[in-house]
Amino acid sequence: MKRFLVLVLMGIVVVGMLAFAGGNANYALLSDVTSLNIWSMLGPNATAWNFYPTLTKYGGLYSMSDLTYQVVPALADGFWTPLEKVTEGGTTMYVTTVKLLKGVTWSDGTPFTADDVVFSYEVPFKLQMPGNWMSNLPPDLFIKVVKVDDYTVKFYTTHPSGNFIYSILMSAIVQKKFWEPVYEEALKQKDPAQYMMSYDKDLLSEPSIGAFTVSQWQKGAYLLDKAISNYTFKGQQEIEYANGAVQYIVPSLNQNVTYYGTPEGTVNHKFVTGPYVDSIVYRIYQNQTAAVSALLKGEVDYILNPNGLQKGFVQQLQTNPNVKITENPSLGFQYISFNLRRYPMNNKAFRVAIAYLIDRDLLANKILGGNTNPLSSLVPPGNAFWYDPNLKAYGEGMTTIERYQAAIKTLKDAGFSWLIEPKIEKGQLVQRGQGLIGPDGKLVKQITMMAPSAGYDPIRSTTALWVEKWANDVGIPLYADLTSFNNIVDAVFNQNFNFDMYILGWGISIYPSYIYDFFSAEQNVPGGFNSPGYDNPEFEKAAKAFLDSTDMNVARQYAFKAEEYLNADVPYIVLFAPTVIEAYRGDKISFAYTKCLDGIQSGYSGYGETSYVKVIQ
Amino acid sequence: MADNTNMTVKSVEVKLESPFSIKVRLLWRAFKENWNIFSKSKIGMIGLYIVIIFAVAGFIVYPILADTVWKTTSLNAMVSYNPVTGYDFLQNNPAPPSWAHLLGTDPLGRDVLAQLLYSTPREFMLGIVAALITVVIGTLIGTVAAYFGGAIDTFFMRLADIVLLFPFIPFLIVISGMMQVDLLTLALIIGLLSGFGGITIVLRSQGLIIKSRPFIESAKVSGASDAYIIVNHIIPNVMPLSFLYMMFNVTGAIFSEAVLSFFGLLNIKMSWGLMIYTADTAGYIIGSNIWNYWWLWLPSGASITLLCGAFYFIGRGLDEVVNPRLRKR
Amino acid sequence: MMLKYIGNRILQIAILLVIYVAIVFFLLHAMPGGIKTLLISNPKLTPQAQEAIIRAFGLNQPLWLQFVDYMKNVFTLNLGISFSYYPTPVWNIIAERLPRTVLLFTVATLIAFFVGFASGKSLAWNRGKTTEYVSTVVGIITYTIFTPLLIFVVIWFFGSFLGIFPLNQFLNPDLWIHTRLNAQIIFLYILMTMVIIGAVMLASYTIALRFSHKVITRRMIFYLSSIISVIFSIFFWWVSPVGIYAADILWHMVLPVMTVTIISYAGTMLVMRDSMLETIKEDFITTARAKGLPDKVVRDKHAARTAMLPVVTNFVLSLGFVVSGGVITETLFSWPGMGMTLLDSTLAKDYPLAAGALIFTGIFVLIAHLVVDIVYAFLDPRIRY
Repeated sequence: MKRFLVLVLMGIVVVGMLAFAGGNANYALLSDVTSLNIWSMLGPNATAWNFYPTLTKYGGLYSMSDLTYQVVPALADGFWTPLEKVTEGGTTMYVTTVKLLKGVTWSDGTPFTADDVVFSYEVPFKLQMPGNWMSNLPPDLFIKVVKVDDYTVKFYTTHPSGNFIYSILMSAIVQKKFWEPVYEEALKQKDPAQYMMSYDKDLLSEPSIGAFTVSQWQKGAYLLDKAISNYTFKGQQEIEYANGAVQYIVPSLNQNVTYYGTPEGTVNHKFVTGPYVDSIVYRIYQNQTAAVSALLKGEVDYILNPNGLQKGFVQQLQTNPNVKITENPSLGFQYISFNLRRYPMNNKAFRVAIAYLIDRDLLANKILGGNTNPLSSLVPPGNAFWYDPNLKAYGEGMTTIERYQAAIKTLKDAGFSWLIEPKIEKGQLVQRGQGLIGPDGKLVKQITMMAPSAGYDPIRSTTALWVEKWANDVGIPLYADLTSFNNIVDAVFNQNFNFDMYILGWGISIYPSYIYDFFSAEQNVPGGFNSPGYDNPEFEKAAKAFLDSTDMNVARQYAFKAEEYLNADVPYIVLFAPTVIEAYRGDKISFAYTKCLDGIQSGYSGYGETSYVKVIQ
Repeated sequence: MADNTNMTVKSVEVKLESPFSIKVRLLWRAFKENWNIFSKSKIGMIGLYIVIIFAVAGFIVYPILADTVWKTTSLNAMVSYNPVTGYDFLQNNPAPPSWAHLLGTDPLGRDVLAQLLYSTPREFMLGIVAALITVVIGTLIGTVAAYFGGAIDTFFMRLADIVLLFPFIPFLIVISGMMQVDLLTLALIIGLLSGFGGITIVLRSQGLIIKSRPFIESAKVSGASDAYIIVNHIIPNVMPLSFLYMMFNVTGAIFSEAVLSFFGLLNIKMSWGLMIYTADTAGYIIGSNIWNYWWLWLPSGASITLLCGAFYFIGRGLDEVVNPRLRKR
Repeated sequence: MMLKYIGNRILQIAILLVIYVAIVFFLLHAMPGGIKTLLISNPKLTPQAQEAIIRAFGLNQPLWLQFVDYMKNVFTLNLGISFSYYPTPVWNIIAERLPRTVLLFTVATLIAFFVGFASGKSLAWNRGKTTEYVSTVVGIITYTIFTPLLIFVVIWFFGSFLGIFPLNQFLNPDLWIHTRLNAQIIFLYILMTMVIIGAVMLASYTIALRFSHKVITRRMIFYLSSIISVIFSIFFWWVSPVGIYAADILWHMVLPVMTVTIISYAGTMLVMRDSMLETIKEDFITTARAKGLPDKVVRDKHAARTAMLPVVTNFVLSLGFVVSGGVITETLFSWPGMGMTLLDSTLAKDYPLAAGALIFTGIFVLIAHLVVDIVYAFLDPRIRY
C-alpha cells in the first residue's frame, strides 16, 4: 500500500506543477459520451452529453446572438438575399444567395470555402440521415445548395418558410477535406448513412472550425478539449446595444459590422470571444451525487446538466462559499394533454373546467417548494421576442375555492350534472361531487391521466396527484396513473394515441415552430406530434402563415394569433417551465454571464460558455 | 426390528384413524418442542421480536395514527391521511422531526413516519407472498424429485443448477425495466425464480433421508398412494426445513424490492426503497447533508436492514431447530 | 485423465451457457409488445436501420429460427447493435467495460473470501463466547444491511469526511491527460499480472505436492515461489513507465473493494462457521483433540481443511451474487463496468445491450465456476477424475 501511496503522491506533485502552469477548466458530465461522430451525434445519438464537448468543433452559416437570441451571421458574410421565385425544369423554387466569410480557417490551416458548405448539406440530405439532420434539412422544404464561387452559395427551397432560417441556415458545417474519403467509401456500402454514422477512426484528428477540438477520449472517464491556437474568431467583440443592435468586431478578419440597428446608445453587454483556457477536461461522473461531491472537493469547476440540480444538492453546495449557484428558467415546458378523440375530453367545457382547477402558482411555489416555474403559455417569457404577454390562462389569480366554483359553473353551463353535487359553503368545500353525468345523461366513466412516477420526476407525479384530487373534489372521475415514462410515450406515440390524458414535457427551441407541429392536422397521424388530435382550420391557417413568414415581425403576429386559439380551446394545459439550477466554482472559473435562458449549459450559451470561460489564477 | 416396524405401522394407523383433535394436539406438541429449542436461540428471538414490532406498527399503529394524528395535516380532512399525497407545505421541506411530524418530512413535504408505516404491511405482503410461492414450489418439487427419483429428479436438479447460476438482481432489473412490475408481480417473479433454485436441492436431500425411513416403506406396504405418502408423510417432515428457507426468502424478496425501488424501476407509489430513492435523487444523501437530513434515509434504510435482518435471524434460529448439529455442545 | 475431466466440465458449461442464452432470449421475446415492436418503435433508428436490425435478428422468421440465429450470433460474439450507442456494436461496449468489472470484483471477492474464511474459522472455535455473538451479529448486520445505505456511509466517511480516498471515478484525469495511454490496456495488464501470479501459485503447489511429502518443504516451495512472483511483478510494474497509471487505478479501487468486502465477507464467514461446527463434532476431530494436539493445530489442520468444501462451494455461488451486487456498487461508486451498463441500458430500454450485459454476466459466473472446478480438481485429492 505504501508503494501506491508514494506513486500517487508523485502523481499529485507532477499534476500540481502542471495545473499551476496553464489555465485548465474542469467540467463534469453526468453520463457517458456515446460518440464523437458528428453524423451520429446529430442523428440517432443526439444526447446533451455528446453535444457538450464536441459540437464546439463545428460551425454554422448563421447562429444566434448571446442573451438576445437574434439571428446573426456566423460563417456567412452578412444576411442572405431575399428569397426569389425561379422555375427550373418545370419546378418552382425559391432561391437565395449567401456570401461566406473569407479568411476563416480550419484548425489544420485549410481555408473554409463553399465546398465545405455544399458538402455539409449534400451528404446528410442525400443519405437521408435521421434525427437533427432530418429536421435541419426538411425534405419538404430543402432542395439543394449550389456553389457559385469559392465564397458564394445559393440555397434552393420549395417555399418560403421561417424554418429556412432557423433550421437550414443553422445546420452544422463539417470539413470536406476530412470527410470526403469517408463519404466515397460510404457510397460503396449497402447502407451509406450507417457507414458514415458508425465511422470512428481518427476522429480525434478531425479539424475544428471552432474554439476547441476534442484531443483525447478516455472512455468512461474523461474527454480533453484543447483550445485552437489559430481560431479565427479569437478576440471577436460582440456588443449588444439597448436599441437592439448587435455589433461584431473580428480583428483577424478586419471586420466590423452591426446588425438590427445602429451601434449607438447604451451598451447592454459586451463579450470578447476567447478561448481563455488552454483546455477543458470533461470528466464523466455517472450520477449527480458523484459530480456534486467532485464540485465540492474542487475536482471540477462546473457541472453540465440539461436538467439542472435538485434542491438537496443546492442546499449542500450552499455550504461551500466558493460555489456559486445560478437559477434560470429552462427552455421547455411540462403540460397536460387531452385526447380530443375521446369523450368527454372532446367537450371544450370539460377541458376548461380542468384548466380552471389547476393552480400552477400553488403547485409550483407552495407544494413543489419553488422547484419549478409556473408557466401558462407555450412560449416562456424568457424568450422575449416570441412571448405574448397578453395571453391569460383560465383561472389566473383565483383562489382554490374560486377555481372550484368556476369549474363547477363551466360544467353546469355545458349541461353536466352530478348524482351528488359538489357544495361550497362559506369558502369551504363541504361536499365533494360524485357521479358526474355528461350532457348526454350518462355517467362519465373513469378518466385515466398518465404521468411519470415519482421516481422519474417527482414534480410531474406530484402535480398529477393534485390534479386528481382537485378533479375528484368537483366530481370528475379522474384517476392519476403514475407509470413509467416509456409507458406513456409508448401509449401516446406508438399505440395510435391510446390515452385519455397524460402529463409529459417538451424541450423547445427559440423559434416556436412547435406551435404548428404540436397541433397541426398534418401531425394528427399515428406517431405524429399532434397527440391531442386538435383540429381547428382557423388555427391551422394562422399557424401556417406564421411558419411560412420569413419576416419575423409578421411571423410573430401570426404566432400570437395561433396561440390565442390554443389558449381558448385548451388541447394542452401548459403547467411549468422547470428551473435549471446550476453551480460552478466562483474561486476557480468565471463566466461572461450567468443569467440566460436554459442556463449556462445551453447550446445558445455555447454549451457552458466554452469560449468565454476564464480560469482564475 | 420386526417389532419396531409393527409399532410404526400401528402408530401410523392410529394417526390415520384418529380424529382431527388428536392430530392438532400432536402438531401442538411438536410445535412446543421446536419452540423450546427455538426460544433458546438468542438471535432467533431477537429476530422474532423485531418482526412482531414491525407487524404491530404496520398493521395496527398505522391505521390508527392515519385516522387521528395525521388527519389534521391532511389537506382534505374527509379521507384518512395518505403518505403518497399528503403534502404539508406550511413549512420548508424537508422539515426536521417535530411534534407534527415525528420523523420529519421528505423533500415533497410528506410525513416520513407515515410513509414508513404505510409501506410496512406492503413489505410484509411482498416478502411473505414471494416466500410462500417459493416454498410451495420448492417443497413440491423437492419431495417429488426425492420420492420418484429418475428422470424427474435429474431434470429438476439440473434446472436448479441453472437457476442457481442466474445473476438474480440483474435479471430482475432487466425484467422490471422492460415491463411494468408492481409489488404483486414482483412477488410472483421472485417466488417463481427462487422456487426452482437452491431450495429444491436442499429439500430433495432432506426428502431422500425421510424416504429411507421405515415408516414410508410400511405406508407403501399398507397400500397408500404415492400422492398420499408425499403429502402426509414426506412433506410434514421437510416442513421445518421449508419454513427455514421461507425466512431466508422473505429477506431476499424484501431486499430485492428495495434495490429495484432504489433504482426507480418499480411501478409503485411508495416503499422503503423508494423513500431512499427520493432522498437520493433530490440530493440529500451527499456530503454533510447525509447527517443534516438523516431522517430522509436512515429510518427507511434501517427498516430495510432490520426487517431483512430479522427474518434472517429467525432463519438462523430455526436452523438450530432443524439442524441439531449446530446446537450447543 | 485430468484433461478429460476438464474437457467434460467445459462441455457441461457450454451446454449450460446455451440453456442460459435460451432463457434470456425467450424471456425477452416473451415481453409484452415483443422485441419487434420495441425495435420498430425506437425513434432513434432510421427505417433502414430498423430493416437491418430486423434482418440481422431475423425477426421476420419463426421464433425457433430466430433463436437458432441468435445463438449463432452469440457464439460469434455478434450481440447486435446497441440502441443508445447506435450504431456501436454491443460487443464493443462490453469489451470496453468488462475488464473494469472483472478486475474490481475479482480482487474484492478474493479479499472478502479470505477475510470471511479466517473469521469463520476462529468464530466456530470460539463457540459460545461473547466474541462469537458480537462477530456473528456484526457479520449478519453487514450481510443483510441495505447495500446503498452502507455505501452512502462509506463514501461520506472516507471520501468526504476524512477525504483520504478518491471518489467517483476510476482514474485521475489530471494524471492521464499527459499520456496517450488507453486505460483499458492497463486494466488488461493488471488482470494478466494477476493471472500469472495465480498460475505460478497453482503450479508451485502442484510441483510441491509431487516433489516432497514433508509439509514444511511443501510450504517452503509454495510460499517462496508465490512471494517471488509477486515481488517480480511489482518490480516489473515499478520500472515500467505505465506503473504509475496502474497505481492510480488501484488507488481508485480501494473504496469499492473495501465496501464489497464488508458486504460479502460475512456470507463466507457464516458458512465457514457452520461447516466448522459440523466437522468439529466428527469423530476424527475428537480423536485429534484426545491425542492432545494443540487447539490451533486441530483447528487449522484438521477441522478447517475438511470444512473447506462447502465454503468453496459457497464462494462459487457468491461470485454470482457479487456480480449482481455490482450493479449497486458500480452505480454508487461511479465505476462504469458491467453492472452499471446493465442498469443504464435497462433504463434506456436498450434491449440488445441489456441482453448482452446479462449474457456476459452469466458467462462471467460460468467461467468462475469452471476455474474453481479446475482449481478444485488440483487441490482436492478426493475428487477422482
